[in-house]
Amino acid sequence: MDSQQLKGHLDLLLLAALEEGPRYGGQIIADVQSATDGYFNLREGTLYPALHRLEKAGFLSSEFQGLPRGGSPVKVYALTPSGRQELRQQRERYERFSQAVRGVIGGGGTG
Amino acid sequence: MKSQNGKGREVYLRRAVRGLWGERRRAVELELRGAVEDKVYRYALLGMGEQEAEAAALRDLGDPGALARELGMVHSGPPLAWGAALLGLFTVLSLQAAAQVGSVRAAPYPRACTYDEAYLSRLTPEARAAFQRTLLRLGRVNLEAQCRNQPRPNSLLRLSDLKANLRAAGIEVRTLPGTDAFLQLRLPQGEWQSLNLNDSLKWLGEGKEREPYVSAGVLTGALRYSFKGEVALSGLENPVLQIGPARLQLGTAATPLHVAELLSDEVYWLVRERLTTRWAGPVGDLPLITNPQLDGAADYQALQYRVPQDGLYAVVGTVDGRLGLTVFGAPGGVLSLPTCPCADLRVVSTERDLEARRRYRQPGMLVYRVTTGDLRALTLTPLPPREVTLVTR
Repeated sequence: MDSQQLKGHLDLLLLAALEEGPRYGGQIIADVQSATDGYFNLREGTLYPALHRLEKAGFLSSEFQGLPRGGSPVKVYALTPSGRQELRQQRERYERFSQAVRGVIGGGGTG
Repeated sequence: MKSQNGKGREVYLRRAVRGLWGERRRAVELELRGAVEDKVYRYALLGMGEQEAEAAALRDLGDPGALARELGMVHSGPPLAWGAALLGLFTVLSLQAAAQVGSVRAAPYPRACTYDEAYLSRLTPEARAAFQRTLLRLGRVNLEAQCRNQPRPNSLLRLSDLKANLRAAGIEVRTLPGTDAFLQLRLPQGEWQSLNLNDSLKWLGEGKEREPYVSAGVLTGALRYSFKGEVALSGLENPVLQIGPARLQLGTAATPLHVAELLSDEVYWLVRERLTTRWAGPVGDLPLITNPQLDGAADYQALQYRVPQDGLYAVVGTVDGRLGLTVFGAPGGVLSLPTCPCADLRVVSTERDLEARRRYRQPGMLVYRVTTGDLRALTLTPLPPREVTLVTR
């Protein structure tokens, strides 16, 4: 994985990972990893500050929940309505960007 | 071996939340603790041994210092280097030194008192059931009114009083542009140093009366960890805080402030560290129960214990296999603790005894005397059970 690439799209990845429903940190990492066949190996050190930033911006809400296995509770994050809106906007921006890049570098059915 | 693992984890967590204060620090710590446990659990499922899983989990989380910096940036505003460049723009006010005690007004943290169902998930099953019974009995409107009328601890300090008193003692004070409470101080003949209180800023009052306040506990933490100079504390009610040449009385007769508001966060860490280094098993969740007599219901009942002297005490108790910590003053050498919903509550003398009581789900408590004075040298001394005697029941 290219960490610069990850950095540029981290917010979009996290918002998208929560689109299907609330998740806690460990689940988000596992989901992103399996959805990208391990291409994105998200680290906690990157994940938690980013989640906190998104929560502070009002895009996520969170609450602590206990797990069936016991132990300390985990903090579960969910998209807020403004988070859903942000996800839509970021997704559109990303689509426009990747179409533009494909236009330049070729491929993707344009050649 | 297990305690070695636990210790590494505790050291990691403590370093990772350095720079955050108060409720936020405890929440981030709890979140990271949950994350580490989750990682260890997942690695164990893959067949790793306990130590190996622990090491792998902490390695995954990365450098705790870097994590602390990142989290600090999210929660505490701009980094120092950026602010320092802008400081030249500021006019610095400085008044003549005066060796007198000025007072800093205190106020309670505003409480919304709106019923939030999500909060219930943080309670223990018993507390949740008790809360739901009260809700059913009183109804939501009455419950919210009761909450609003409850006395609350004065845990916030008026920022303008704080700054004025520091200046009156000859300390130069300026505020980082773009923030309301990221202070920079310069003691006479000293260098500029930062005192970041911005994370705890709260505006109280309306219109012209609107005033910024900061958390007393956050001030203590900032002084303990980032201030260079003398810091000392004396007294229980409206204590006098010495910051270099300044002597400030925190709280007033009208809105008194108890020293526990200043120190309970720091005491939490000291207790946690003692338990972690002395216990064979993991400590797990250790909720800090602040001012139960103020937060609790009207039917709050206390048990009175006589202790050798006036001062500040920390009590870590276990009931039903769970832990809790409270920090209290003992005016006149009498410690008022909430009534334990249990029989045979035993005072123990060591952390190991407390661990055994918890393991067998027997109620127990360990009482520490907290030595204040020098704010950077807070110490805990466990009291032998014979020095903690029940006065009334």
